[in-house]
Amino acid sequence: MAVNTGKILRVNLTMGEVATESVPEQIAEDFVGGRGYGIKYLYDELPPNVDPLGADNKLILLTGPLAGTSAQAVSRWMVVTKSPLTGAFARSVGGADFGAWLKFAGYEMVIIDGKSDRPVYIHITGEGCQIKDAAGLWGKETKETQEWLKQQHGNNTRVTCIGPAGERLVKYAAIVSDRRTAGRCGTGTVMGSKNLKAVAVTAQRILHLHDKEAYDRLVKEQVGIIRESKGFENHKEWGTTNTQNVTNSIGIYPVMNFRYGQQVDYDKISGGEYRRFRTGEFGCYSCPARCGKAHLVQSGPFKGAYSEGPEYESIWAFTGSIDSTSIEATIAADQLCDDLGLDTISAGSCIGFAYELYEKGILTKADTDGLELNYGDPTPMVELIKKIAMRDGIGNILAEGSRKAAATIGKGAEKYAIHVKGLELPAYEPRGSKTQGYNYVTSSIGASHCYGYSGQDVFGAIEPRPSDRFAEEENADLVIFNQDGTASRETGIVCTFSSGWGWVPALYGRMLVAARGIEKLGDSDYLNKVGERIFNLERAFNIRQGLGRKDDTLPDRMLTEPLHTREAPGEGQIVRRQEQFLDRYYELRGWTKEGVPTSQKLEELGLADVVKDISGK
Amino acid sequence: MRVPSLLSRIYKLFESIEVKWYNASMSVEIQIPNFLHHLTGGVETFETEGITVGECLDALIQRFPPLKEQVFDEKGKLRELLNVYVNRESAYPEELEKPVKDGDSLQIAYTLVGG
Repeated sequence: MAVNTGKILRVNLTMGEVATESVPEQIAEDFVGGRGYGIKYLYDELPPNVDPLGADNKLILLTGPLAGTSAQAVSRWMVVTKSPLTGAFARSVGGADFGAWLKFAGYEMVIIDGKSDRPVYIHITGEGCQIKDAAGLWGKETKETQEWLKQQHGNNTRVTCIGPAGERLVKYAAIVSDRRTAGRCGTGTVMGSKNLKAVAVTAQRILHLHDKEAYDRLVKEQVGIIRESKGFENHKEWGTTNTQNVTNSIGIYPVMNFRYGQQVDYDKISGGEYRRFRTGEFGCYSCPARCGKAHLVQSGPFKGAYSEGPEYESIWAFTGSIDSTSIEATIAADQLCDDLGLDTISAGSCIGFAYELYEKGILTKADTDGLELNYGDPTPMVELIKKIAMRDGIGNILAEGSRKAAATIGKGAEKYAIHVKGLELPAYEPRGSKTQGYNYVTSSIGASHCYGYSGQDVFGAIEPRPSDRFAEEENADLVIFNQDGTASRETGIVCTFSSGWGWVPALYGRMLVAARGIEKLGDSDYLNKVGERIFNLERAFNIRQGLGRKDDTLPDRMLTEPLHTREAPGEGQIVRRQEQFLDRYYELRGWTKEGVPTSQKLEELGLADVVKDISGK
Repeated sequence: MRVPSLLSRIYKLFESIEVKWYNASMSVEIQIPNFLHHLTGGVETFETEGITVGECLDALIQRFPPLKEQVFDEKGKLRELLNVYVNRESAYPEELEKPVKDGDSLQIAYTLVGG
């Protein structure tokens, strides 16, 4: 049986050209797939200093080696590119069915470059690929866009697309599929810059596995393990709609632009309260958890708002940021972001930033188009989302992200911009969860919780060891463990949640062997090494762009202002030892004092070619 | 089908009696997770005796009463969001009924892995 490495579809929008190729076996062995393929091709093909919104930037859509099969929780999709929000490496992950459909059409990667001179969409089938006119789609929201393309190409079509926010180059525009988004880093902005409205795939279920019989046996084993997991049962029941119960109780739910770690009356936004609004559930391809919980507002000023969400991050983005406990407004805000194509985390965070500037008098009604941004009032927040997506008035400034918006506003606004490398912080307070905070600091994409999630700090996870969540450089090893483990799992774009259901990493490796036919991938230690290789190559990508130690920092607030946690533990916590942490982290990573991977480390990881690119940085 | 089920129950009963007889005094360490440290005055581990996970947790709560509401629901079951591990292996689905032996360690964590 032949080795199965996956196929690449290349689309050049400037030339209107399409080509296909196979991934070489050595790359499959070294990088496995998914995020590994993404950074390998982006690093090799994208020179430094390319304008993220120029024709030369590449937008890479990926699905995993196990996608589209009957295996559980492995059919997500990923986008890799250079971020217009951070100027650094970008990776963002989405769910629903698109990953499976891309695989059915025969591809694991679509590498898009160039720029069309008019709005277009890409239509992929099992027989080929066409670039089609999208003039009639330009301006449409994401739901309408997907419905239109399904009408056009049949129900056996799945779509990723941008909304009005991506068309207007809002710097944190998302790519949306069904109601799931690859939200972070402005991947939708890059898509908009190429005049690319959508990628649609029409395909029948066809799969090529190296050893189907062995694979089917492993899937049976996987299903058995998952169904006996309490984590799975809980996730099926609640999705992430009760995570705020936990984070508030331990004082790490960011409130009022990261001033407090607990929201007053947080029981009003508990999972139980969200349950009262629930009208249904939805999930990704071949995943029985169906963790997306749909909510409908039945009465009041937001009556009729319907969202296939919000999940934890979006619940926080539209409550904690502005100190509101309105579930109704949160559902309306979440729906708007999905329709308009915005990252909920950056949108909510930028709005929380604007509310604080208003409180401090740095912004006034004259600056906010007459909106009064008073904490606790969610109505202006909903208006701001529309303004950001349409780049209207104050929305045009906030659409640039908090870092650039602060520079534009001036008057000391920089102090209140809460980001790492330009990417807004998500819903875990770094001062009360320092392993998580240092993951933000050292992440190549900026402040992403998913880049190396610290289950040890947040949920008391016991592997590889429990953490003291207020400790600093003592937890550098845990940050590395979480980051490399995530990169390893994302070679298959494995759902983060499912990684706690007992089948990863051992069974994952054996499934890769059955799918790919590369024996090495069955070794968990080898897969961890691949994770480290991926992480280092992403770091090298950023070093080549001019990023380094100076960019590895939390916002000033976390370094200078004590956290207030109200009734939760952690009152007065502050991040005091960032420099000592970086020294320790770099040392453990095998990097220089400046945070540059050493030639010795790169050679050990099989990345000797990279040495010349970053030596002397 | 009833006969094997009955036999199995009788066997389990004898088995548990036997376990109780021979393990009347067993030392088990409970590793208290960081999210509960504020309720134990910073105590991170607790040595106790018991033959099931439930007995060990009862002893923990006797020593640190504020933990009761965090660990058990109103019906006395382990909270939906919590998982207990015996030597790093999940005790689910037996949970509180899961037997423990001398030298075992228990870990408590949330079932969640992200958000």
